[in-house]
This record gives sequence, C-alpha cells and structure tokens, in this order.
Amino acid sequence: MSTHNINTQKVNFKVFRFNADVDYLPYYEDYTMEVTSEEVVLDILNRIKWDLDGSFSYRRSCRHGICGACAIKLNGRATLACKENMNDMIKLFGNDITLEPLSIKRAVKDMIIDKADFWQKHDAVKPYLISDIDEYPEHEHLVSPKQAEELDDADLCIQCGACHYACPVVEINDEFFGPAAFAKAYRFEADVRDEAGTERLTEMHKEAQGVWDCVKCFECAEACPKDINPIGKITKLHLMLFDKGLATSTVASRHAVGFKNSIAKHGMLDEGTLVLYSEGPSIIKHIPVALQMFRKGKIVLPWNMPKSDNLDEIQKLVKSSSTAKF
Amino acid sequence: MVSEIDNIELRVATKEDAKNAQAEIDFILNNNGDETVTGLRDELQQCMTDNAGAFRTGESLEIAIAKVKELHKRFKNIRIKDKSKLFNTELQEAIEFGHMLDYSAFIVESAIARKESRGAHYREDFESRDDENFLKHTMAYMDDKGDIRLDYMAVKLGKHELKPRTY
Ligand code: SF4
Ligand code: SF4
Ligand code: FES
Repeated sequence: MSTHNINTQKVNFKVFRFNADVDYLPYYEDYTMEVTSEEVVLDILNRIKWDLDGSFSYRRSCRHGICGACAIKLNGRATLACKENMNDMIKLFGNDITLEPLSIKRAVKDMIIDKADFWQKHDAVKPYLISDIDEYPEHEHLVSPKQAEELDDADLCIQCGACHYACPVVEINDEFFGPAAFAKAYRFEADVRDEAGTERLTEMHKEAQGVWDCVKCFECAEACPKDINPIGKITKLHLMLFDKGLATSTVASRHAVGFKNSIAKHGMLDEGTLVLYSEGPSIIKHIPVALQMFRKGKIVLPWNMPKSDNLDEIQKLVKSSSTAKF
Repeated sequence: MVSEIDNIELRVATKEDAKNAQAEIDFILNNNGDETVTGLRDELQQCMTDNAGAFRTGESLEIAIAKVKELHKRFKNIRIKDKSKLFNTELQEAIEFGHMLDYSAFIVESAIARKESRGAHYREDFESRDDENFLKHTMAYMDDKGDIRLDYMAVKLGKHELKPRTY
C-alpha cells in the first residue's frame, strides 16, 4: 500500500490590502499560517477570509481552473489561485510569499481589480463567429479534426487576464489590444466557419492597437495558466496579414520584412540597416541612440557587416520557409 | 411543455419586497453580535451532511431540524467586519447563508413528512417506495415566523407507467 504523506509547514504571507472606498493608499498585511501540502493558493485566500479577516476580498467561482476569476500575482508571478499547489509555490519561492492583485494600479479591493480595459479590448476584436447562418440548416456544418486543430487551443482561453496584465505594452499603450484579445481574434480568424473576410483582420493591422506593437517579450506565454501561448497566435496573425495582402507598408510591417531581408542577405541581423529600412528618412531621430549602439558594438557600418557561416544554407531556409508574399 | 412554462403566473414584486430585501442587507451590515457567518455555516454544513444526506432516518432528520432552528436563532447574533458598499463578498456570503438556512429547513421538513424512500431520498426507517401515500410532489411554504407548511400536488405521469424499480 502506498502511503501519501500530508505535511505542513509555516508560511509567512504578505498580503496586499486596499479598499478604494476608504483607503487613500494600499498597505500590506502579514499573516503566518500552517500550510498543508494538499492546499492550493485559493485555499489560502479562503482561509484568510473565513478564519482571519472577513473583509478580505478576492474573486473566485469554479475552483476548477475554468472560470478565470481567481488570477492574482504571487511573488510577482501571474498565478491562477485555484490551480497552483502551495507546495510548488513554496519550492519556487520559499516560505515568504507575497499575494497581490494582477495589476496594482487597477486595484479596487484587495485582490479584486477593475478589468474594464480587458473586456473593452475583448469586445473590440469582435470575439464571435461572423457568418451568414441559415436559420433552418439541412445538415450540420462539418469541421474536420485537422481544421479544428488550426485553432491551436486558442479556444481554451478562460479570460483570466493574466497575460494582459503581464504585458509591458498594455502598461504603456492604452490602445494596444493585448495578448488575450489577439488570441481571441486568432481563434475566430482560424475558424473555417468564420466569414469575417478582412473586417476583423484589418483592425489587427492598425498602428498602436494592432499586432505590430507587440515587442515579442514572451511574458504573455509565460503568464498563461492554460498554455495558450498568445505570442504564438500574434505571430500567426502577422502571417495572415501578409497572406491576405492586408499588411500595407508601415513602419511595423517594413520592420518585419526588414528582418527577413537582413537574414537573407547576411545570415544575421544588421540592426542599422533594419532601422533604416523600417523608418525611412525619419531614421534621423534615432541618430543619438545609433551612435551609442555603435560605440557598444551593437551595430556596425554597412560595409563592415559580417556574413554568417553557411550563408547559402540560411538563404535556402529563408526561401523554403517563407509562405507569405511581401 | 414550453407553453406550460409560459403560463406560470409570476407575482409582481412590490415596494414591500424591496423593503424586505433592504432590511435584510441593513440587518447584516449593522448587527453587532458575536457569531461569525463562517462558524455558523461550518456547523450547518456538518449537520446537514451527517443527518440529512441521501441516507436519513426520522431520528437524524429531527436532529437536523433542531440544529437548523438553533442556527436560525444564532444568525440573529452575527457580526460581519466588512461594512463597505464596494465588492462586499462578506455581506454576500452572509445573505447566502441566511437563504441556506431557509432551504435547509425546507429540505428537512419535507423529508420528515415523506415516510418512504424515493430516489435520492432514502429513509432507512422506511426503505420501500410507497406510491399509495406518496406519489405526489411536496409543496412547502414558509410564513413570516419561519414556520413551514406542507402541501402536495398530484404527479402527472404522462407516458410513464408505475412499476417497482427492480434494478
Ligand atoms: S509578447 Fe507581445 S503581447 Fe505578449 S506580453 Fe510581450 S509584448 Fe505583450
Ligand atoms: S490567454 Fe491565457 S492568460 Fe490570457 S486570458 Fe486567456 S487563459 Fe488567461
Ligand atoms: S476559481 Fe475559477 S479559475 Fe480559479
């Protein structure tokens, strides 16, 4: 008979507290608790509320990793409270654990944040199937398993917001749709039944809000509790834009093409020429940065640009892997 | 079927109803007793699991109803810490608990009166189904004092014929 040992250990919790109705500033409350190896983070939130302080507030519903309500930050890491086991968290971070809302500047009450911007962006990408539906169909609309795979699990998103509030671009650019909204847009763009044509995709191309403002930091992929990999979906939207000829010449799309050209030519990135290609004459504004980069050896003068070994193989690769026309 | 649902007459909410709901909230927010909702809820959950689960007897159900009545009284003596009007989930849990008490009383009183076993209502002191006396729906009504009155409604059998369950 196998025995399963339940162990307990002492953990010090530092918990973000704030009530927008009465507090001028947020503060942190300390709680020390015996934590058993069977508990998930949500059990800790429940015990704080039920045993220690009834006014402690957080969102929860399903306790099953499916409603997306309980996402918070644990030692700065986006965490779906009902999914993560406390033992794993202690292994990662030790016995001092800080609990905070996903976004401190949007905090309303303790772990609860105002997710209005998240939902606005979600709505803005037309998160539904656009299709002329026959009200009295004679047979079902078949989707083959292969076509369903195209969604690439984007339909498993639970709208928890973890990726959105981990994204550095969301923090500085109010218009940016953000990783969850892009994953949602991709979910319908990849659906064979969707007939939106260019309606949804053009929105993805627009400056500031669209996919080109993503800085490809992969924070969203790291944060997602459902392994949706939003940045992967963003890359697919880039390709769709080129495929459908919607990627008109902008700084951003030229930047993408410039990457490819540079690799095809040198087998590596020529950052100086890349910026020139993307920005055209307005490159002049980057001269101070360029001089710094030059001094640090990050960029070289065009005639000094080295070539990668096996350049011919790289060029073959670029050719065979390029599906989109520029 | 659908047409039957359409024909259900709904009572129009009155100002009185709104006042009652507001009074319930005011009571929970302002009452200054020494019981916690969490503590009472734990007691109710334990009691209902032990005495009013699928397997129950007249005796266990009497224990349950006594406990529910006791908790009803003690509920008058609660205090919650969170007084704010913003995302007050402690208030929400207290309102929910008040309703849990009412529904527990409905469940237990109906079960006490149904002296037979049927589906997930398994009376260990009345193990067989008794169609002669209990082939009927229980209707339960609560008055202002919290007392429950039971009434019964005939079952429309439709296509189903009555026969003993032998599986
Ligand atoms: S990869 Fe793009 S969308 Fe994802 S977090 Fe970084 S900037 Fe945001
Ligand atoms: S993509 Fe992942 S992290 Fe982002 S909202 Fe959906 S489930 Fe949450
Ligand atoms: S409570 Fe629903 S996802 Fe955690």
